[in-house]
Amino acid sequence: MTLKRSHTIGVLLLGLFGLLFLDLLFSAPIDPFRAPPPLAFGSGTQASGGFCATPLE
Amino acid sequence: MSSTTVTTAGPANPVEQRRLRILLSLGMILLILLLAIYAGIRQGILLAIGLGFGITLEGLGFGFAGPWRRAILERNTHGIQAQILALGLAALPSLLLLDIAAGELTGATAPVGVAMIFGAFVFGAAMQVVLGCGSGTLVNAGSGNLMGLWALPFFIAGSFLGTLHLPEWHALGQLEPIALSDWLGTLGAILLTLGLLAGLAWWFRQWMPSNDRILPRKFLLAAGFLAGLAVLNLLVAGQPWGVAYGLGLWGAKLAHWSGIELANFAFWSVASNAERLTQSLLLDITSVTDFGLLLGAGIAARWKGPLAAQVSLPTRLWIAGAIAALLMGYASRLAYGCNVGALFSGISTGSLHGWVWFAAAFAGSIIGVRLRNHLIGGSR
Repeated sequence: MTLKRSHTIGVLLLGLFGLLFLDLLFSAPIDPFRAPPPLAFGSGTQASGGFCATPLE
Repeated sequence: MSSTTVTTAGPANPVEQRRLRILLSLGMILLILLLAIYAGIRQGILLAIGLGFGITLEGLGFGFAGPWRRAILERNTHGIQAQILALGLAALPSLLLLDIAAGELTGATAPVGVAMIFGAFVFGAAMQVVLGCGSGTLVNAGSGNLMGLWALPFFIAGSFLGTLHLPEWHALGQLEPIALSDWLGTLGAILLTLGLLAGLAWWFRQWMPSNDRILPRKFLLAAGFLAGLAVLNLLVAGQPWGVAYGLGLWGAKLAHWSGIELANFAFWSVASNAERLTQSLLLDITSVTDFGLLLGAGIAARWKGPLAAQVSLPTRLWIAGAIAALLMGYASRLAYGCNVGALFSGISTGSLHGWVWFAAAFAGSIIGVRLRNHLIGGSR
């Protein structure tokens, strides 16, 4: 089987687009007025993003 | 990083290629601006950082699984030495920043434990079968590699499934998280980290023939860019560069949307994780850099010229690739991260578990390269 890499990228982009479309449908809408400051450094608040090392407790 | 046979592409038309590069550049800027307007400036910058990671890794042919494979099979350690250089370049500013802004920035500090070591070992073995680690699978998929694209959904599924069983795995026993800077102070942590990295680099350098010990320029560049982007990620996001959390979240969201109740699972009942299930992926730090990595790799691949066609590998390798990618995703959760979240970010922010991850995953890779050679009949 021979497949062009551009086709593979096309399939990936379709998958990403699908994921983001579902996200748009089912997730809470983004409130641009609640956006965090551009940099965490100097923001005065502790980072709270999801990360692999985050403990369960 | 390719795991499929790639045939050569035809030569590029210079005028068309220039036009395409302009379009790709404008497309990147537009995406960054749109995300910055829609989800905030921080998310826009994070997408730019993710794009930078993808462009660096694909454009300069830099990775983690491939260099380990070459070290094990050919005693060619240029790639590993470049990884160690990148770690050192990232560690110095990262440890200083974590000291200066302890209330704002967080390191990748996680405990060493039975499941963590087992997970890193399995991850190391599996990544050699897929020929792509956490970042490598994204780069491969993004640049149009068929095995990368095939592996990605299995990695996502594995990373999600791993979150469901974490308490049972953790119950096998683990130490408290150890941050070198808590133990030795910031200066001590910097000196110990850089000293260990220098020793490791020297040791790997001895593996090479004496007339071939100078690092290729592209690896020096890649190490510099990777370290710079990792430090920028820490400054902007407040946390180190990660990959696997985002993929697990994608899987969890798909399950959640399908009606599967996740509130009964410890991981997804933690307030911050539960909140992420309901909020947009575009607000999740790791997801945004993962999107950037995928797109950046595709852009870098196309930037170089026309994309070559590729011929697929035997069926048994596709099956093995699916199983290995599933295991890799699952193991990345047990190990508190993949080669990025645990190895790169763990070591560069002074967590002991990053070093243990390195040793366990390298041991796993020694098994993995032999397993892959067995699967493809020793031809590659």
